[in-house]
Amino acid sequence: MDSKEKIFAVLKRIKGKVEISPDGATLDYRAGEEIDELSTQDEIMILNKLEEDGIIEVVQNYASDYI
Amino acid sequence: MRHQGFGFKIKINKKAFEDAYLEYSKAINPIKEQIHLQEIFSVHPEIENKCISLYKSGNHAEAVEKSFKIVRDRLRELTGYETGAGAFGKGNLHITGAAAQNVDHDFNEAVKFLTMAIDMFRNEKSHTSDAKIKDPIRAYQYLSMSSLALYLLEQAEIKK
Repeated sequence: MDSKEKIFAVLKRIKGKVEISPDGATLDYRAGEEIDELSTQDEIMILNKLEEDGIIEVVQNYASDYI
Repeated sequence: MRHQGFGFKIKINKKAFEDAYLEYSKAINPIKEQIHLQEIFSVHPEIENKCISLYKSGNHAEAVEKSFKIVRDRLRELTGYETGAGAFGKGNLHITGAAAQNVDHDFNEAVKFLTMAIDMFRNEKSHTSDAKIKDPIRAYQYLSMSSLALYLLEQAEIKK
């Protein structure tokens, strides 16, 4: 998987969540949740990049399930 | 890197997201993805002959619209009426192959509404040049809908 394919894989995942959520809803995204060629770190980096590019807004980020 | 945790709560910027999705979907060799889809869903031969080349060349809206017209052509050939309502109403079209005799009416209503939906989509999409179909996957889903209608119409008979 090259970098563009990795970014597209994350976009597809987000799109899947958007399609089943109300307009403007806050979406939960857990990096590393799905087992595939993307590593957790890849997904985190891509989400950071998407935010930098103004494609998404990160409302909250956490490193533990106990918040 | 600003965010380092694995858990994210995010909101999308709709316009920017759609643009990025389209851009990346083109960049990652869409043909590869389309062929993959074709391998999963085998479309009706008539759709394959008349629409897939349009689809592969990136003319998604034209491919979808043509597939809707193929369904209309088939209805006209069968009954003389080109809309689902006309074909199943005045045209006395009946589709065999329901799961059981007692659900034959439901099955035929389902096929009727499928063909009516195709007709409504055709009308809706013909009002703009790009039919608002930018996503190749969505276009393929429309083609699959037309394909299903054509396969079902192969089991057609005219009620006396």
